Amino acid sequence: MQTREIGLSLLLVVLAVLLQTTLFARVRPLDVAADIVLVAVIACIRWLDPEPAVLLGFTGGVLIDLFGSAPLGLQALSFTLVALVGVRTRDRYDFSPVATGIAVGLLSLLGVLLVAVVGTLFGQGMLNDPEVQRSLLLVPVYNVILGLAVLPLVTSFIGDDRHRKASLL
Amino acid sequence: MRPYGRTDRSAVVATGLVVLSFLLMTFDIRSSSEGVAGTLRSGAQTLASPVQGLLNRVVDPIVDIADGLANLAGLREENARLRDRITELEQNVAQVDTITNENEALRELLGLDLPNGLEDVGIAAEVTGRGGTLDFAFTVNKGTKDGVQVGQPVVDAEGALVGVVAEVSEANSSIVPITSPNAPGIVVLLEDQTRGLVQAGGTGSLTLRVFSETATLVVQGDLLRTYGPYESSTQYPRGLLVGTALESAAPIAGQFEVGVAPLADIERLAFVSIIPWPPDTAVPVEEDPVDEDATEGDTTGTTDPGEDPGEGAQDPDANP
Repeated sequence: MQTREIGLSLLLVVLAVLLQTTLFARVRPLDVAADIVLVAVIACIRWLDPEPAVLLGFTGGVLIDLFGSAPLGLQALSFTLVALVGVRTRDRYDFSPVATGIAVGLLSLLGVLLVAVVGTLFGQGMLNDPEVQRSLLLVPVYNVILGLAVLPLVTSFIGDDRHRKASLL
Repeated sequence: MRPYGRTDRSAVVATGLVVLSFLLMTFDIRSSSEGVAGTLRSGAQTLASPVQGLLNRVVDPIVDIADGLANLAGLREENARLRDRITELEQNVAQVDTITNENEALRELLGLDLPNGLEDVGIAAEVTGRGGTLDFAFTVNKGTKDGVQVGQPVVDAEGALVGVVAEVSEANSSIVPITSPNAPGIVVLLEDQTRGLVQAGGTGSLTLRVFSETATLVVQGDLLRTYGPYESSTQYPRGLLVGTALESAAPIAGQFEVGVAPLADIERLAFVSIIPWPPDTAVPVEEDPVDEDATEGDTTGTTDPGEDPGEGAQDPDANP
C-alpha cells in the first residue's frame, strides 16, 4: 500500500489546483495558461501503482472542474484517460529528460484534445473556438517547460530514494 | 519505479471513472449546473476562497511587476490607445446631456422605470480565481450573504457588461463571461433602433446577428448597448455597454452578422460590480444603506419581464 505516495500526490494535486486558479489565472502568455494540474498529475503518476494513479487523475480533474463552469466531469474524464495512458507508457519515458519532456507534451496534448472533443460533444462548442485551437498548440509547450521544473521537484518529494537522490544532483 | 508482477486493473478503474465522468457531465448539464453539482461547486469554492485570497495577495504583486516589465514596450501603444479613448470619451461626455434628456423622455414614453442609479446599488466584488485552461469562468468574493443571485449581470468599473452570475454560494459566486459559449445571448439596441442578438463565439469576441427587414446597417465602431428586457428574457437591464462592431455590414435578405469586440477586458479584471437585477429579485442587505435604493427601485420598477419595452414606442422590427 502506497499510503505515503498517495497522500503526497493528493497534496500536490490540491496545491496545483490552487495555483491553477490563482497564479495561472494571471500568468497567461498569449492568453493561454499552462495546465499545472495536468503536469502535477503526470509527475505524480510515475510514482504510484496503476489504480491509484488513474484515481489521482480523476480527482485532479474533478477538482479543477469544481472551479469552472464547464460540465462537472469534463476535465475528470480527460485527466483519467491521460493518467491511464501515462501509467501504461511511463516505463518508456522514465529517466531520460528528453523522453520525459516529449511524454509530458504528448500527454498534455491528449488532455487538451480530449477536453475540446468531449466538450464539443457535450455542447460546449470548443473545437471551433480559435482560442481553444491556440490552447491545443500552446498548452503542451507550456507544460513541457513547466514539467522541466515540476517533475524533478515531485521526484525529490515523493520519488523513491534512488530517484530522489538523482533528482537532487 | 513500481513493482511488477501484480494484476493491473487500471484499465477497469479508468473505464469506471470515464463512465462516472460521463454521468456527472450528463447530470450537470441536465440540471443546468444546479442541484448536487452546484452544491459541490459552491462548497469547493467556499473552502478554497480563503486560500486563494491568500495566494492572490502573494502572487498579485509579483505578477504585476513581471507584467510591468514585460509590457514596457507595449505601454506606448497602450498610451496612444488611451489618448484616443479619452478623446472619444470627451466627445461622449459632450453628448451625455442630450442623451440623458432623450433617455428620460424615452423612459417616460416607454413607461419603463429602472431603479435609480443601478451603479449605486451594484455589489462590488473582487475576482479571486479563474477556471481551468479552457474555461472562461471566474470566481468573485461575494455571494448570497451580499445579495448576489444567479442570473444577475456583472459589469466592470467602466460599466461595460462582463457576464452573468452562474453559481452562488454564501460567500462566493461564479461568473460566466459574455464571451463564454455558456453565457446567455444579449439583445442589443443598434444605432438605427432595431434589435440584434449578440452571442459568444467563445473566441474572446462576440457575434452580432440581425434579422430585420428594416435594419439599415451597422458601421464599424458602432457602440452596442443592452436592449433591456425583451420578451421572456429579463437577463440584462437596458443601456449596459456591450461592445463595438468590428466591421461595417449591411443586411442582405434582411439579415447580417458582424463580429463584436467586448468593451470589458475580461482576461484582466480584478474588480467587478454585480447588479441586483431584475429589480424584483434583488435581495436588499440590511446593513448596507445603499441597498435601500435597490428596494426603492424594486417598488418603483414597473418592468414586466414578459413585456417588450420597445413595443409601441420604437416599434423595432428586428426579431433576433
